[in-house]
Amino acid sequence: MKKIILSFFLLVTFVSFSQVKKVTGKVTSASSGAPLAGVSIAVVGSTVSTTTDFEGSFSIAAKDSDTLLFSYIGFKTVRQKAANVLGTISMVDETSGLDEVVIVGSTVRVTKKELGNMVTTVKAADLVKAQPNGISSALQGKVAGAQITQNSGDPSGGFTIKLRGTSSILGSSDPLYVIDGVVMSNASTNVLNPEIGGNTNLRIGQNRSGDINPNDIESIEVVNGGAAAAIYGSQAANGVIFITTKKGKAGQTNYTFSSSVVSNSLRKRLNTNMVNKQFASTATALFPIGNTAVTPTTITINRGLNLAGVPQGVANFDTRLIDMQRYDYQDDIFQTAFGSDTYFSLSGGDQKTKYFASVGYMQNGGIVRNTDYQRLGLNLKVQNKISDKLSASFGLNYVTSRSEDKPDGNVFYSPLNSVTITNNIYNLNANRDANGNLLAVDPGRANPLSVIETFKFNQKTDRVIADATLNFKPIKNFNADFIVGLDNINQYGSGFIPRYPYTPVNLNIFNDGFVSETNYKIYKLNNDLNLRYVWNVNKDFTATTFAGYNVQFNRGTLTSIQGRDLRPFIESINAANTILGGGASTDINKNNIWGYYLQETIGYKNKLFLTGAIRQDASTIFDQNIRLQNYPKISGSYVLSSEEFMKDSKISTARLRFSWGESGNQTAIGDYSRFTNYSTGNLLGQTTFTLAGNTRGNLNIIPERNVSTEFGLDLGFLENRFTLSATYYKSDIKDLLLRVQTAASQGSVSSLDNVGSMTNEGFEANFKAELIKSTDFNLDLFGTFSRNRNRVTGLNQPFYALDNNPAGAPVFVQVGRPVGIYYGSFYARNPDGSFLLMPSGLPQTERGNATTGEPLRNAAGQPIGDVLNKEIGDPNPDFIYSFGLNANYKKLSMSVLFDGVSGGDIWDADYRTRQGVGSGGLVAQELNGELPRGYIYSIYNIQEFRIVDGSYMKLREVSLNYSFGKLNEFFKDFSVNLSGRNLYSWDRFTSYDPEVNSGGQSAVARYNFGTIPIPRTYALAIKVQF
Amino acid sequence: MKKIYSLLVLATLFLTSCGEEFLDPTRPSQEDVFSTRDGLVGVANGLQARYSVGRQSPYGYAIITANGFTTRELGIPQAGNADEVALYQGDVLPNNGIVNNIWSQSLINYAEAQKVIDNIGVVGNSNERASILAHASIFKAMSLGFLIQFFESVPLKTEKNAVFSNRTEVLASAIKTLKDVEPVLPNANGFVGLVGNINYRNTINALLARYYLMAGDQTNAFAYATLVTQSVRSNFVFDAVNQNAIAATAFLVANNYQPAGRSFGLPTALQPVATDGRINFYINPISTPTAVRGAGFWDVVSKPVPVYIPSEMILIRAEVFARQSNIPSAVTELNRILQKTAAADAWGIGANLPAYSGALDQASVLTEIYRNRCIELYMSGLKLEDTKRFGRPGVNVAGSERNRNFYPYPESERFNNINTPADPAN
Repeated sequence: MKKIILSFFLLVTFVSFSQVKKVTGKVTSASSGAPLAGVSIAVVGSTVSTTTDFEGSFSIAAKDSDTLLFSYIGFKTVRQKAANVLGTISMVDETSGLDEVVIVGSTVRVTKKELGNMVTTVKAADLVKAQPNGISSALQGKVAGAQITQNSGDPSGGFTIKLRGTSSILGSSDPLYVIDGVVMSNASTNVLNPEIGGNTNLRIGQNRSGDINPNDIESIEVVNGGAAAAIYGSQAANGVIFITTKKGKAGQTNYTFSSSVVSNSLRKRLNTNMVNKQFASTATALFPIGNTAVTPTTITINRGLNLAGVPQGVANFDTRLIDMQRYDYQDDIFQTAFGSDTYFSLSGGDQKTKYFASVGYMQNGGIVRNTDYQRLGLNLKVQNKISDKLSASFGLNYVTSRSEDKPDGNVFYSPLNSVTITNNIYNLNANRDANGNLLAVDPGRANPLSVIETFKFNQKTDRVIADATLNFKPIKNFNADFIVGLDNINQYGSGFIPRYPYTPVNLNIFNDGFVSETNYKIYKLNNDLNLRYVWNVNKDFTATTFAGYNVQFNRGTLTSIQGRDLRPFIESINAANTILGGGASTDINKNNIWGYYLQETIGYKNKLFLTGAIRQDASTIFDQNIRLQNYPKISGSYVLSSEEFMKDSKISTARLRFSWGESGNQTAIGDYSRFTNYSTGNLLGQTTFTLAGNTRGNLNIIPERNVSTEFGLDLGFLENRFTLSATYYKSDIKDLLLRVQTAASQGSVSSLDNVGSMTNEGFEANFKAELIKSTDFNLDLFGTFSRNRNRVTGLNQPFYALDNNPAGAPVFVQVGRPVGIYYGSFYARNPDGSFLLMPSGLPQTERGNATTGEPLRNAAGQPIGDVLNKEIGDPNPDFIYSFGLNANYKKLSMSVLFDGVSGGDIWDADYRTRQGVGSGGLVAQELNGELPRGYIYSIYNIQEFRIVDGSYMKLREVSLNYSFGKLNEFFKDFSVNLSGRNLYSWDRFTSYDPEVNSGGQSAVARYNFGTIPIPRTYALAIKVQF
Repeated sequence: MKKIYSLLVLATLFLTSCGEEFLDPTRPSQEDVFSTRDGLVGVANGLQARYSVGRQSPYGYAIITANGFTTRELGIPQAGNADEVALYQGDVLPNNGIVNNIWSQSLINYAEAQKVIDNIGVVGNSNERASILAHASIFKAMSLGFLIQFFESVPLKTEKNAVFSNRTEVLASAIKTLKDVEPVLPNANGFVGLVGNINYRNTINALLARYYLMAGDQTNAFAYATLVTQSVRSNFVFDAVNQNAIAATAFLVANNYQPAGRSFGLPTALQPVATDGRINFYINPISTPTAVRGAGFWDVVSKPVPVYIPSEMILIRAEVFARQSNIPSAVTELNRILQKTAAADAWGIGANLPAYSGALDQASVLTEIYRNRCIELYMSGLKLEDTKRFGRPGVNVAGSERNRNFYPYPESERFNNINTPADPAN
């Protein structure tokens, strides 16, 4: 305190006795010539500071001998003697500059040119152009090497960010998220539908990166490879995403208010059978595939011949048509929904104390009726310079969100699947009983309007992310950062299905009603110490040493209770006469992770850098004797353009970089998975213990290890107006943890072991071209291209099925093939690729010797034998790409972004189901006679029928912005923004949206089963700064 | 620099003290459960849960369903149920989920039961020890006894690359498991804490009779069948939480399967006569020829399912007499079945028909015994064995009463056990 008071007096003295004058001027961008607003200007060695106004003008009191420091994010800092400030100060853009500082660890920042790895920075302005609803949608199409997928079109739907491919089979391929030094949870915890459960194929629900308001973000750094390995060793294998939030700036307080209205609508309607006919059948349900009794009007068909030549799957189908009114249920479940997003922030301070505070409220309606999402966030950041040597920063971000949902797609009582599984011959809305109750549809099924009107599924999340950082600079060239980060989440989900007012309804869709309540608490605490010392050895050599430690405490408690057979009136768990599983269940997660590191970078003449690092890491997830693991890393960077011989070249920037490093992934196993545990249960009042998961423990398991090598090249031409960055990488994942199938004769069906290996090899590139550059008009083009080849190189057996999923997608791993291939039955084909038809003219499944996989033919050339299986699809894309433009003419600016995926198959379960129940497009063709009767039956069990191409190119973002500039003394800026998101998709997908994944955030499974498509969104926003 | 190093040293000290070991607070470990009496009781109860509760359980769903499709007891399954459809069509592949469940769950239960037996010493009380031993032995024997009905050979040792044993060895092992309980059987009367509703003495005798008959030891089959008290019920228990899986996922829903109908899936000559009281026991009377609804032990989610049906013992006695050419005695036993009223049966299964009036040659009487096994013991999982023992028309033969003789070994076994034998032809 004494120190503070002392410095206060010093300050007063300094201010009162100096001879000062008023220095005025204007700051502009060197590249565009446009004025720069919000540039902070400080008098070096004093607390005097200011910022430029919207016209770029400033005025500051300083002596002639003072040095003024001009700093602005995205531009090179300018130092200028006050005496020399005359008129305009021009600042150079550093977006492609190698001097740009990037984060590679909690508070560890290095200049780009030192780095051997690819790091992409996305700045605030690029994040929020087109009203993203979260940070993941804000990043889509903007990072080379990142496959960013919105897995559900629900307003709070989850996202997957996969950097350089899938790197784990059992674990997560999610990068590590660090926000202002806090290791942040991005968990996908299914609290909404505990009855669906989860496994590696099924990670449904929200994920927690969605809590962060993109408006609060200053920049996001995406580290694709192992650059962060030294700081986050055993957790860095999937890359790291560093989020830096906005901080206060010295100078006049700046207020920002923005508000937008959003409309969400269904982008594409499905091709529905509207032929008002039906084949005569004993049952209306499943008439395209249901066997009937033989009559004079039936035809008998089969699904091919077994080895003995006996027809298999013989069934009779009526060919008579009867009249049947058909309806399009899409009108019953979808709507155009509206939302709004309001944000207010203030930012200011002086050289000593800076503050930033914001409040954001978003409300967004879902395209499925009666769904929505609301998020309220409060964010506060205070930085204080305690003394010349010591400064502190505190951050607090509180987020609360509420959502009204419907059951996830993976069940037949979800909005989309209740439609998919029901023949479209019921007038849902008009048909009600005298009490207004809905009526039954197909036997056993849920009326889609029951789901829309009477089901109640809700989720609430409360979250605090807090950080405290102390920065200590006792001597020149040395600094120490001490960080404490906390992430505390409380997630609550509830479900309620009332008793259906009609019969028959299947037991498994809860004919007697269902309730659930699930609570998940996450507590994450991290403590880091980062030390940095720069030693200028001589005029040519510098040595930068980083050292430090990182400790994490992770705790989680998931409690769930589910019940059925409901008492009337009540919608909570109290309504249940029967508690499923006999009681509530709790999972308690507990692990500690700790490690320390040493990193040394030798720089030669500021053009050649060599870095070596070692990290030692341990985690309580692994056995005490083997838990300490080492992760080494080396990297190098050579700035060719700093050489004499390139001085006059058109190539303004040229750099070569390489890196080799090891990092780990420990998400593949639970905190106690190394033990053999017993599940507790209850059989009519008596305790049961059963071998948990039918699996044996293994004390010898260690973290998965990713050994990756990358080479890269950064080029800039014509004063960096054209820049290009390209990287080749290869990652070998060793000690891949697999749930090893064991022969049941070993007393269990599985065990965990480090038996697998996998590689990801690929290429990623981005370019930017400032095509037109003038005072009034600018046009930039940019793009990214990434190609990743995943290959499973080692398994304990040639191939096997991963977990089950509700859609029945046969998700397999096979040595030599990419992870997650579909393996199943396929069409018998002629050599020219056309279907080998049965004598009946219908397609058929390939048959032969199931052991050798060899197809067999009888004398007539027809397939005989057992149904054969083979690889029928690969969900991994061939490549992903994005491109777009930014243009501005005076105060009008425009940007367009296309984002695409080429290749990658999808298991479309819904497509087949629609044909089976009668609402699908093929049914219309069979009714019209365009396809022979029995066609759908003949191919229904051929799994290849459900494999479709998942390629797409989306018009991801379009935005049009008009900035009125400074209106008067009060308003510094006023802008109006019209934007669209996911406006159009070029694809050949058989259902709604090839981007969504019913496996949720699963890293390995990709299938379509009732998931809500991503809406087409339009937004109109205003933004005021004053 | 000194400062840096001292800080580093401090950090190192702080870190190396983090050697904590966390155990799962929500689940006991293997060491816990097999080293205490309470743990052993829980595992014993768990054996029953694994064997009878859920769609993956052997006797709660998989055995009865697979056997039912293979021997035509069950009607056409709905198209979406690929594993059921494959069994119905006889197109059983090594990746069939139901067959895999029979195999895997039975072998796990076998191994777990063995662990209970191996650790039985931790139980102090002799009555409790005897009860747990009997309980575990029943599940161990039953796991083997059913496996060998569906697979040509079965591994008897729980280990990596276990060697398979043939039918004779497997049945001998099942019989020995049960015989080993005999000395302590008088003490095995159950106790509070162990799931009830299984009478150990009668169940062990009934299973011994069944396995001796399968092994061809007719003397012992007859002797043990005679020891079983007809009026005593032993059954698996269900409630709203631990549901009767066939009820919950087949008979009470519209999208899986139902029985073949009032014919019980039998050829015309063997079908029950219209007045047979057992028809309405197993087939819901509301059934129509095109919309059959199942009943029996599977039309309420909390309905108990017998471990064995006591009248199986009468049919075993009849069969032994018939095979020993003692036709009059065989007919006497047969008539005990035919003339039994529902009220006189422990489970309410009563044909309530006139006495046997057919031909009195051995073949005719055996056929009548087979026919009555098919009706009386409908959906008990025994029919595949019966069709073979009675020499009924086999696979791909005109009028065949089964579409497989044995199932192929599941992929999970073949891929992980080099000693897995070749699959049977069909």
